[in-house]
Amino acid sequence: MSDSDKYYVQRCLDGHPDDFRFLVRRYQKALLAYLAGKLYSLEMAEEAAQESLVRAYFKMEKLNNPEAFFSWLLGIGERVAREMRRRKQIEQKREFIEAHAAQTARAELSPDYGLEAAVSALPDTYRDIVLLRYYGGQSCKDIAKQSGMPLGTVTKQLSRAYAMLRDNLEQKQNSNYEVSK
Amino acid sequence: MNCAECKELLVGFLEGLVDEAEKKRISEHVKSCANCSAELEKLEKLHKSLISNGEALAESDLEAEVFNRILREQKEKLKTAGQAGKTINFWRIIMKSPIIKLAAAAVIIAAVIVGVTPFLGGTVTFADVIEPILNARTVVLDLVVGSEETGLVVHDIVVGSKIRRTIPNMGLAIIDLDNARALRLDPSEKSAVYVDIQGPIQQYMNSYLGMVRDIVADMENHPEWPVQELGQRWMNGQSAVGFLLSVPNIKLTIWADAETAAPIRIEMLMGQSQTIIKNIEFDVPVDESLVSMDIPDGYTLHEGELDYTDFDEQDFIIILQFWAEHVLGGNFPDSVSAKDILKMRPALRQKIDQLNISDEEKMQIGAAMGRGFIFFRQLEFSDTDWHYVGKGVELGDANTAVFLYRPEGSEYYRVMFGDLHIEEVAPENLPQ
Repeated sequence: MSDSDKYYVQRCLDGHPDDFRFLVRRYQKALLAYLAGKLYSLEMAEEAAQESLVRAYFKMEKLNNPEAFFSWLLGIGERVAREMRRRKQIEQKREFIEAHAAQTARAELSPDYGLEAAVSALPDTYRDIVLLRYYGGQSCKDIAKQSGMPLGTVTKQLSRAYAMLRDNLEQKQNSNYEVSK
Repeated sequence: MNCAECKELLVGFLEGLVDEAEKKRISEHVKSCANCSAELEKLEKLHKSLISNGEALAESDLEAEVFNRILREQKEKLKTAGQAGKTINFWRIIMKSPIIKLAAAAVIIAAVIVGVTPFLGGTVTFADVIEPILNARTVVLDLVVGSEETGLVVHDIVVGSKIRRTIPNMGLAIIDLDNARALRLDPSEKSAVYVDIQGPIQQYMNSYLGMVRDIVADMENHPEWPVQELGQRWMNGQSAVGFLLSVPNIKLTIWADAETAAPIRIEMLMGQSQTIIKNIEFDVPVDESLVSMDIPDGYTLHEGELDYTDFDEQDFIIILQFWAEHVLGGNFPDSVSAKDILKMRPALRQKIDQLNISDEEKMQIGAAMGRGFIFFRQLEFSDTDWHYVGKGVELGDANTAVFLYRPEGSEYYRVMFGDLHIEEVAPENLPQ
């Protein structure tokens, strides 16, 4: 398949750096959402996304399974985010925001990236599907095609992801409620 | 429909993935079941949040920034590699080699290897015309790089993935594409040297051979790529039919025998580089020892391998610098093409020999020039926008541009000035 991740990874490794653009276009938004959920700041997420993509490009030969490019990219993203967090000590900000999240009635729509944080905390398979579907602009059918999973499986996993997201968001609200009580 | 069944289908329902019948059943159930209705409402809220957050967050565009960084870092890495690993590696080779003539030959070695394109001509749609190009195991042909009258003529014997390439007065090379090695033979000196063609250069060569297949495969996806029939023409005593194929960056004209459909002449214009392939014979018997990678009897092998695995603009600058400084008395040449560089070679060889520097340094100059030649050929063949504007410019003139090109994927031009410094310039600010 000439537009698969594997194809573009191979093209990059064969010395066509320009083809990395296709991978950037395909995943930049999903990556950004993931990082916003980790860093609670769009500005930092953009910086981290840029860094992650550049690192991914130069480390491409270490990618053993080109079909898993996206998960691998998120792995790099996670490390970059961790480094940035450490550097800027944003843990404090995170605690502060979480403690005050109860005051915002709809945590998932507030600009604190609570929803993205919950998405980023999902188990990998579910996380990838949600990111690609809602932030990466892909349809369930696209995801099924790209991952080789039957469409039914993608839908089921998405259902499961919804359930986990709801649990996570509700839990957060409850614990914040208790804290602020 | 019961509640368990309904809940399982709700996300699919929101995603529009259930069929009409199921949709109806879900809607009916939800209407009559407060529990499922509440569940749907919650899921819908989450669904909407995800969609709106996705849209809100999706406005950033990282592509340009990411690419600028990649280009910058790539260049840095090349520079460091060139200063550290590459040079050390190279010096090790030099120390073993009692070679000085090789220095001057380095450009030629590079030319013999990449100076020409292996019959890209196989790209017509007409199966009967391209069939021999795709399937013949042996091909014998002449290649003219440049125009028919003044171009450089190269004779190729192709056997499978090996090529025996001869350039009159410049010697020959056996190129083994599968193993990414070449054996350069100099009959006048009876000397031989192995050349490592892994890395970018290998990809570059392979891409030419692979291009036949790629373009033909690609044509199916591009019905808009026109194949124009050029009609019949009398050519070298035989009746020929012509086809013109235009794909991005390449114009390919194939003339085939009107009776047998065997290609007899292929003209290719790729980027700014023209190649003519003629005197083509398919599947002729070839003595396999002609493409042997073993050293022929009576030849002396230079130890070590020449390294052309990496090349960049700095290598090309060395050619221009040396050309202007030592061959043209301080002026840049009127024009720069592969042909010009190769024609300058005897003078170059003489000048290198006369230089009061060590053999090692001569060797290094020669190798850098070989790499610079490859860099330049790559520009010539690609659709990179490049211009040589050095006519009348003196070496050392810091204000006048000599050469400029726009690296693939970059918004900026790299502009080289008469004093050899390089600036990155936006297209709108380019010197006239």
